[in-house]
Amino acid sequence: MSHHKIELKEVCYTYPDGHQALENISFLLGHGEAVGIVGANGAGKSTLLSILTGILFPQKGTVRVGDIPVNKKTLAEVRRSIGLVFQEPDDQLFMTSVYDDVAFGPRNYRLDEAEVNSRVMQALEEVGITHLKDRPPYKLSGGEKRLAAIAAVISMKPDILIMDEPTASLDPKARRKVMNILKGFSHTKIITSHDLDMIMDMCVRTIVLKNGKIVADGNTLDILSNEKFMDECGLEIPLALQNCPICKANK
Amino acid sequence: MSDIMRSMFNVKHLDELSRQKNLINDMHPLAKLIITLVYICTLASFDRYEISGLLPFVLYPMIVIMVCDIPFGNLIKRVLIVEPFIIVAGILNPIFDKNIIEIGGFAFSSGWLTFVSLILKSTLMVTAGFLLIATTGIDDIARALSLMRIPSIFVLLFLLTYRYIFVLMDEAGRLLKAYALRAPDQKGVKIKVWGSMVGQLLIRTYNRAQTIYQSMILKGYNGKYSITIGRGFKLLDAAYFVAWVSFIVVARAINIPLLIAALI
Repeated sequence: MSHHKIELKEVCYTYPDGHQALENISFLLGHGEAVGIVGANGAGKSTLLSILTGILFPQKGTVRVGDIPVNKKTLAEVRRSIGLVFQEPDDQLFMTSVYDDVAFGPRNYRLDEAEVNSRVMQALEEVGITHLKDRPPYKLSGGEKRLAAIAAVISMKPDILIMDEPTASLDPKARRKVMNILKGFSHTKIITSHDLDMIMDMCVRTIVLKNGKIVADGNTLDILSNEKFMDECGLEIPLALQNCPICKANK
Repeated sequence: MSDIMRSMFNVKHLDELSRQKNLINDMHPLAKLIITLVYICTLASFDRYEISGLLPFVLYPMIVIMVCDIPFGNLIKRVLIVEPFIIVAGILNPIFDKNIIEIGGFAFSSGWLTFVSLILKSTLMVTAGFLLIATTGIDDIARALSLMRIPSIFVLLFLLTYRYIFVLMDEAGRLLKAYALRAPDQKGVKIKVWGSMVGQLLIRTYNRAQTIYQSMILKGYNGKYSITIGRGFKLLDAAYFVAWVSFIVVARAINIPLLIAALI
């Protein structure tokens, strides 16, 4: 039994106000895969992430994490294997120090303090912010908050890591640092982003959402380099594949 | 607009003061919590006309402020925010209390006595509350409450309410900033906009609180507050506790200023 796979079958979700956010979503993610989920604003990416973590339940279709179906009874078990990093780090850092935020998850698992401490220090070292452990989160810069939020999730040692726009609002160096850290993780990764260059760099497989439906699911380079298709989906090809702005040479 | 942001930084700053190393901060949180509760209850037990007997109680906040190096201006500003509520509670006393008393040749309603007594008592109580946060920190206070066998649901309500205040102030700050940037010549918010702004504030704060709650439950939070047993109760903590409680009891039993006046 693999804890690291995710399977969605014909999932449909409509918000209470009648807006259908997801229609007939089906895909299977295997152990260790890094998948990018892209789409225009309003395509359904955030809804999909909420469905995967059991924050929302689909009206139709099934979600399985590992071999466990996601329903109200299995939520605790499912959430042990999934770590979700929100787009907005402020929504995930709510304790009085970075250490306490990173320790929050392990403490909820009733681990003893020695084990909690070892997990926290390990997580902080992996993202490189050990020196910030006693800082209150509101005194961190945007990039530091992002790293703290990631540490707070990986301290729970999830099998699957889901990230909602991990590089949003980061300066180029902070962005590069986050990307390098994420590349070093061996978890199954699901990343939603508008940063197509990052998706191209980090994900071998990409799923494209358009109006709540999956319109492409395959090799990242093949999909993202198809200019016509990307345009139809309300996107553009990654900047790295576009014409050079200095010498105007076609790539 | 920037005042809310500044005061938010300040409010959080109060909790941070508890991280400084000094004699009182290092005391066991349970000792400090119970002393504060005894202090507040003793103040409340005074007769409503009592003023001189309250004066020795100023000693406790003064000593804590000096030992813990708490920025006095910071604290006063916070206490002053609460003062209007206290004044409103007592402002009708001089009118409703029909007794007339004479002090130093002047006759006035004894309602003024109850008013001054109320202000003094309430200000001291509020100051003691702030000092508790400044010397103990919210998490330690919650731990102390659990040690006192207060049901974990109340401790959680206390913690979450405290956190919610910052979320609320953060959203309020953003709303006011957005308003000020589009109403450059105005000071403050127009009355006819208040209704929709307050409504927006509550909805946005609620949404943010929901998202924060989701991130908590995704990390396995299940509503149970577990105490990580901190350090044990030491002799110094017991001495500190006994010293202050004794002082409070003595100051309640004997009117110290009157005693001193009689001796002089």
